[in-house]
Amino acid sequence: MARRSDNIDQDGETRRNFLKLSGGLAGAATVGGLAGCAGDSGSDSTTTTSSDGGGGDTTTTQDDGGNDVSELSYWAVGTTNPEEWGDFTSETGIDVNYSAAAWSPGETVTKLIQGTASNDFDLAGNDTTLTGILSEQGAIEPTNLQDMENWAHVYDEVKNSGPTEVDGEQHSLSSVQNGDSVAYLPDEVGDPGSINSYGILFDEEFKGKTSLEAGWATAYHKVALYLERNNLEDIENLAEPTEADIDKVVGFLLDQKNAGQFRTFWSGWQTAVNLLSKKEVVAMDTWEPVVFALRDQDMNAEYLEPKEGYSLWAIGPWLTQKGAENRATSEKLVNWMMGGWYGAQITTIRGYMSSSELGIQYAEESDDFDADFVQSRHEEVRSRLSDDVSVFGNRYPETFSYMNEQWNRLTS
Amino acid sequence: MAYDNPHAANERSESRGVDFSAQERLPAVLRPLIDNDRLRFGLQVAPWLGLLTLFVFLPLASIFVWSVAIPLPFGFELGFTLENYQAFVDSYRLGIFWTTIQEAVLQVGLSLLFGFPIAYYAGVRKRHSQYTFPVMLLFAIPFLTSYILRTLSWISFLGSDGVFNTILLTTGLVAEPVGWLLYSKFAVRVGMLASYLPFMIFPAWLAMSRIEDEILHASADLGGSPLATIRHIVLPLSIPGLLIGSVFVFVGVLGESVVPVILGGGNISLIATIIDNAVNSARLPLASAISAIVLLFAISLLLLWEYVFGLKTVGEI
Repeated sequence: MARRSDNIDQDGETRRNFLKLSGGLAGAATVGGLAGCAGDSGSDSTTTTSSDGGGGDTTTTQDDGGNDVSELSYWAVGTTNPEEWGDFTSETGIDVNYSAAAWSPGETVTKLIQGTASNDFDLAGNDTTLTGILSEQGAIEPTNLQDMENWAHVYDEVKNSGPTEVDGEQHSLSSVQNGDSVAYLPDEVGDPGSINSYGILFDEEFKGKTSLEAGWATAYHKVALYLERNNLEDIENLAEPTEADIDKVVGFLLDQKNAGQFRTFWSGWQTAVNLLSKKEVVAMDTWEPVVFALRDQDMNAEYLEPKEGYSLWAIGPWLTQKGAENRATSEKLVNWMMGGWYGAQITTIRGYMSSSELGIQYAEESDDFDADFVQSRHEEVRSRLSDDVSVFGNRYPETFSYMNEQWNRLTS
Repeated sequence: MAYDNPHAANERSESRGVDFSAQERLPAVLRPLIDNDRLRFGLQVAPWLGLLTLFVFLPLASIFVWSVAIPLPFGFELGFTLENYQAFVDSYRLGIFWTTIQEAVLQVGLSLLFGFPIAYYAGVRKRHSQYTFPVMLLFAIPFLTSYILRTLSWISFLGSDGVFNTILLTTGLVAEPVGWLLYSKFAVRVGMLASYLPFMIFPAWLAMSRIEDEILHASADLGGSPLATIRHIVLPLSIPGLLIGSVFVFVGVLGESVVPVILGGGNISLIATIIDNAVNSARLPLASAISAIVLLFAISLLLLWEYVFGLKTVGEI
């Protein structure tokens, strides 16, 4: 295994430090203190590359820190939070201090690149399509996935999903994933067998009874898929929206909004459930667990199987600058998040697919989980990840600012 | 020594009609600090000025500095550009600012409409009742709960299966639930009125409570009807309270970002939501520029108040 030094981009490093400083100063001035200025990357990352010469199978091993710590801080979207960390603690003796993060690309990027989150937390978890930009800006470091015990069990669909790769190499793990579409009430809308399109959201019959999420990160790609796949608009790039694409999608939605098609733009889990459970809306762009929650209330709810394809997403833990300093310990948590208990738990409490078949195996061997449910969810999501029509939309495209500008115009 | 004869010092103090004994007990070296009016004033003001600078002026100054900063893909660079202000003026945001001002004026009007009678009843008609104060305190109870939860609770009243629609349906006034009660401008106005009404009631109540009984009795003795008393006595004397209440309500609406998002359904936005959006879009200079404009607008209103009424009216309640 030949080692090589990581080429640190001096300009990038200086710029990053400036951004951190300005972010820190911003926080400091606002609260009248200097706490926001604390922290420096302090990373001395070295990258080891090996090639076995047999087909160019290149693996990269990070060896930038092996500090042992007794507690890891994990800042992530609730989606990846198993609610209990006892299994990990009993296995490793390490506590996990979890902090909730919003599923907001802008906020995540701002806090990790401009702010001090990369030095405050060992691991951060958010939409995996941010991996490239966070890596480019030096906020996160690669994870040595290939060296981990559970990596071999990770589904190929997850390994090859794209967003967690940087320069063609697997950079980090996606621990939770799904393909999103639309939740609807068959009793109000009609037979599920006849409903197979996002067009249900824009059907005049349901005027004033449909809804989109307030944030574009969930809704945009579904509408783009609808317009493109039904030849209503020519969408240049479904995954990486161009300004022209955004204009077409937002223009279409503004027409719909002005015609009174949408009841509201929702945000937050409870609002999403309430809108459907109280029948304020009959079809809504939302997360699949909303359907499970409605079924728990004995409501007849379905999740759309759209002919236009699902809007794919994944969330996984990144090693931050701080996490890379505590690499040995941090990677134990990443390995655990590919494991059996975590996988069974995540699918059970959230309905999403974890990264490997170990979750199914664990559920089968345990009385605490419904193995059939876990298995069915894995099969369903794997099929979405591998079909030819679903799209992994970038939640931090080059047109990010323009997207926000236009989307805010829509929801204002 | 300056104080070798305390009696003489006392005599000097008393002879001037003012008790200067505290200053005169100071060591001679410190006396000039106290004797100099400007210096004494400066020493008295300095601690407060320091606190104000740290907690008010510095953060406000940073807003103005960032508002002209040069935006970068992942932050900003300190410098000077007007493009952030341009982005405000050349977009839908200007319209939303205008909507915010209109809604703020409307809320002031509604607060006066509903708040004045409540304050009058408590501060004039029932001013001596033992129940007035406890009842008025009830208006403060909502402030003990989360603002977001308080706003969300309106959904239970305004929704399709909410309290109001249930009453309307049960009484046969409507055949199907009224949709515009929720996720509409109406819902936002109701939600904001509920939030800001106490800000009008309390200062108005305070101002009316301070009107002396003798004046009210004199009005009655002279044959003034209750309406005439309100018009010629209560209203003029409660203007300072009503003005302060109006400022509280107006400024509150300028900074309102919760109610439109939860109850508006995308049908109405206020400027604070736009600032939130800019922050979440990693556009701090734009957010600062909008904040600076709102701030300047609020300051100019205060200056207008000073010009018309004088800021001393604040101290009159």
